[in-house]
Amino acid sequence: MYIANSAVKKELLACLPESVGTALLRRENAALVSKASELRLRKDRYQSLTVGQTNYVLSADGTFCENVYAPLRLTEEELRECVFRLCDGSIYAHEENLKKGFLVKNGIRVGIGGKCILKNGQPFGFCEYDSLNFRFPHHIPNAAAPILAHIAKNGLPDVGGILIFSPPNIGKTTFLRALCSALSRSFEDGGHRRSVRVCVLDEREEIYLPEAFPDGFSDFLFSCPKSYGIELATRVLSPDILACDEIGNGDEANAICRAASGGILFIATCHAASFEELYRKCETAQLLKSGVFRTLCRLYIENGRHDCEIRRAEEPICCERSAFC
Amino acid sequence: MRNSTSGGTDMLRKIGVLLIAAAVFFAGRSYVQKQTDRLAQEDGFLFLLTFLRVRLADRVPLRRLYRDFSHKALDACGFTDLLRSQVSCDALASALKNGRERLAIDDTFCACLLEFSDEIGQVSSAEDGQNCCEKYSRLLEQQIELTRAGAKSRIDVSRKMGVFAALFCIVLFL
Repeated sequence: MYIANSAVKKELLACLPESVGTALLRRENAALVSKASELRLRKDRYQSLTVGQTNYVLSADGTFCENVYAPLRLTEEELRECVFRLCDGSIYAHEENLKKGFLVKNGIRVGIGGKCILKNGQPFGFCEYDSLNFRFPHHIPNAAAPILAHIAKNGLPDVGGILIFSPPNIGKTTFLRALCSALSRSFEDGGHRRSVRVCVLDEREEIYLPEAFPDGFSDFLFSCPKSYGIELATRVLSPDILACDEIGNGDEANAICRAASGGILFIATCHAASFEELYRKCETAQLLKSGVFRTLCRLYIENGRHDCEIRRAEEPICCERSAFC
Repeated sequence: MRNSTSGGTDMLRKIGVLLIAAAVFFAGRSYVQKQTDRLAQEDGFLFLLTFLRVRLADRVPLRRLYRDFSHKALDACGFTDLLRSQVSCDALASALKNGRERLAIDDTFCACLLEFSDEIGQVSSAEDGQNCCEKYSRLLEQQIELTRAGAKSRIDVSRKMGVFAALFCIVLFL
């Protein structure tokens, strides 16, 4: 669990069920815990820690193992209490995030599984909690080194908008955070060092980490829907670069197209496993066709090592939903 | 010799009666003060619920709202400071439990506030939170009405007892 700020760590541990919190603090688990990217709590099933691509199960005696005979089991009441503490005793204050199925506590996103409450056919919150997924943010300052080297060589105007993509859990947000941090502080742009005004649309409050943005020319819009945030940021924050995580619907794509026509460069991430899939997806195909993103960056893991492949965007061949395009 | 002994006994008796009368007077006064405090504090809690109902719309967490809250009667007894200093998620319940002796409210009123504290933290929307505040405001208002009706007669009796004690002393000395 990479959390630089010990006060944040302490606050998070205070929210977890006691048995889990105690296990995370045990000395023999320290090595695993320090590298974990996710902690998953489930009702009556396995509690697990994800390190790389491996899931370690928490046993009743408080140790994490790959194969376990006596796993620690949690009750719904313990998960409910955990959510209550994560919300600082005010669940209604997280109403908007709960509608989307997650909570944010000090930059840590907690995905929620369970029984949804529906109001007028729309998800409204949860009446039963079944699982909680804590995703621990990582700041790896040199995570975006390949794309920064590309910018240093070709210059930012030539590189243009950058679309970062990968399947889930490969490190898109970490990559985006490191890139935004570098661009807003100091980077090599075709032969000379400079910095630019970067506005980050942090809809789920998981991009910003104090240690990643200690200074520099970065502005943040938190908890704001991307399609609205793009227009807002363009009008009032006048950024050189607008960055957002996980673009995925037509409204967002339209807002990006409108803002890009005003001369703003975009850096965004989205889900796609390959270049072909990216061109097939309607929203991204539209953006590539309009020329908003001229550089594509595919993240992948090979032999346990994170890497990225950079390509110039081409004209998309086809599109799944022609209605949008 | 006999006269001086009977004069001394008379004096002791008068002092005794005077002490009893003074005790009755001050007990009556203290009771009146407690009833006045109780009503003021109950009004303070009703104001707290109104304050929360208005501010919940902004989806501000309860502990931050408690930091902004102030009411003369609850400030005077130190309850608001206690409420602001709570670190647990159920701050209102903790403050009520830890500061029970500072408050003049009765157990039924306190139980109603504890129930409110349990419920308000669990509501999943600001709208439900506002409804919860309204529901408990109505319950508290009913209790305040009862307190007010009972307190009026009790305060009258206590005041009269004080006056009677004073009159009794005057008669005794005349």
